[in-house]
Amino acid sequence: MSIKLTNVSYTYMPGTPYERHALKNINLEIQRGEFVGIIGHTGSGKSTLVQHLNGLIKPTAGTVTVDGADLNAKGPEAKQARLKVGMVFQYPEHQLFEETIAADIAFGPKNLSLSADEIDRRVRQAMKFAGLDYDTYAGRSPFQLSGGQMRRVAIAGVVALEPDYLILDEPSAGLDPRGRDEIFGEIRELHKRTGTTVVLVTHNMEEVARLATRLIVMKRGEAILDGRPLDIFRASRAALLAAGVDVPLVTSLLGELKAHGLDVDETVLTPDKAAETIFDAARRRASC
Amino acid sequence: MGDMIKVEKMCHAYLASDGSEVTALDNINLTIGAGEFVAIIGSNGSGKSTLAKHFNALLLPSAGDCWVDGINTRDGARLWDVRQTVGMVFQNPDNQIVAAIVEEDVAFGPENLGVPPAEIERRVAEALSAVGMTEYRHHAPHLLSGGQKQRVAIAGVLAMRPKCLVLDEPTAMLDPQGRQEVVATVHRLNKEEGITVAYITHFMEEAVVADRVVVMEAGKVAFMGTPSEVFSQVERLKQLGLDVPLAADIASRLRAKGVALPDGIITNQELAVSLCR
Repeated sequence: MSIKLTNVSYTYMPGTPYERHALKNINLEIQRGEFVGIIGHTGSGKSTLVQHLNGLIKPTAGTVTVDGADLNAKGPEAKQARLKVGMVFQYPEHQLFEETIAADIAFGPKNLSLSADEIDRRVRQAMKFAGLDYDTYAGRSPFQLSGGQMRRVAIAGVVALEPDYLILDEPSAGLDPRGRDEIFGEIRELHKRTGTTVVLVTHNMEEVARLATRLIVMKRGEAILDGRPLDIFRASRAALLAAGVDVPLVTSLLGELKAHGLDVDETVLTPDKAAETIFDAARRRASC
Repeated sequence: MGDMIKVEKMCHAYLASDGSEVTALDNINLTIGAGEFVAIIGSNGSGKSTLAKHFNALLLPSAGDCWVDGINTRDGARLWDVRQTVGMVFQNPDNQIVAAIVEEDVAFGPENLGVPPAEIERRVAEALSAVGMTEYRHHAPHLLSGGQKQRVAIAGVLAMRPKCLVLDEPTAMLDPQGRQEVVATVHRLNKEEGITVAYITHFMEEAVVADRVVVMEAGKVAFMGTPSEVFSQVERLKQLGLDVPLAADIASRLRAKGVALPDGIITNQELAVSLCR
């Protein structure tokens, strides 16, 4: 059970002076249950890549399969496969349109022709995901919410489709730190609780370091690095910088301290752990 | 040093769609000196963007006053002087670019000011060079990266020769490299060209390098000071739902564990030097 890309290439505006090779021969398999972070410079092909994962873009060459079904084949099997992949675009709150929050979240499930009871269950579940009390918020307009709440309702609308694979393109862009933490906390909860596969496109290295089980780094249409986040941050800093991305702040702080001769453990990724290793290193240094 | 922007007892209220009155800004007092680089931080909905929109009269105060280079923004006859003094750059570069060629986009502002063609050409060349985009002058903006587009948007504002730049989360949509390009460009303009800067951001690492940091909360100025003064208040900032620079966060955790560290540590460099003395 996986999304599999085989020799996928994509060319924008082929045969014109603006022809651009956005993806070059990508081979990639995302297994059920993984939490994959995709990072890379603007224009590296991240968004083009994830739009292949549910058939929004058809590869110029190569194939994309979801649980074995070719997304770009014709017939019910391909359609069924596309439904397994939920996509949250950048600024998803721009897509809110219904008069009430409950109706907006229900829009997707309704289009799946589910029973009224099932739709109701999913709306309640999705509102819990969004951190909104059903009785208080179900009948309110989504447009009266704060930016962070609107974003969560929009994401909840996709979560209510209960996709096996959830793709999120920059879900925290433009949010304040609290809103960002709330959204990432919910995504992590969802991944833990339901085992939904998550593919997260982000510029936020801190979140990738904390959440992702696997990291893919894109550069000029190619996946140049693919591995555990910690291994990549530790071993491939030069390659990351060349790809226009950076290591997490914690990693660069510890690197700076190490350069100043403090014997810290550079593999920790949270401020909490960083404070501990710095504390220990400072004490060892004071005692010698 | 004169005042570029002076805000006195300023309030801004508007009617929500359900008819109730919302106070977005509540009795703000703030001065930004000519040549100063001021960062404005605060959670979503704290009034940062509403405040910024008063700086070039996109919004007018419901009560109190806002002066821009000595002009009251309510003075309708001098509206265009205000708008030429203060240039705005917004979050999404795609919403700010109007032409199909970079240099035409940069020329759009001065053309509308009725600047003579030879002068426009000179300004466009200067503005593109100031943001490091000269080699892209004949490119199509929509094929540039986010960071490059945002620099073109800044050049478009610079070509109108503003004395003050107001940037509202200019790096929110950019990758780390694009962010660095924009931040470095704004800094150079401030230090070398003496342009006053009001810089709204959620990225504390970008606010650390300002002359002064203003913290907004629920439509009020919660507190302000130099970056070291503001970012030393780790607990207070966290209560407001804001980040603190990592070095300040770690320094405060280390102090709690009994490590003696000087006050006001906000950069990695400062932390490293204090720990390794």
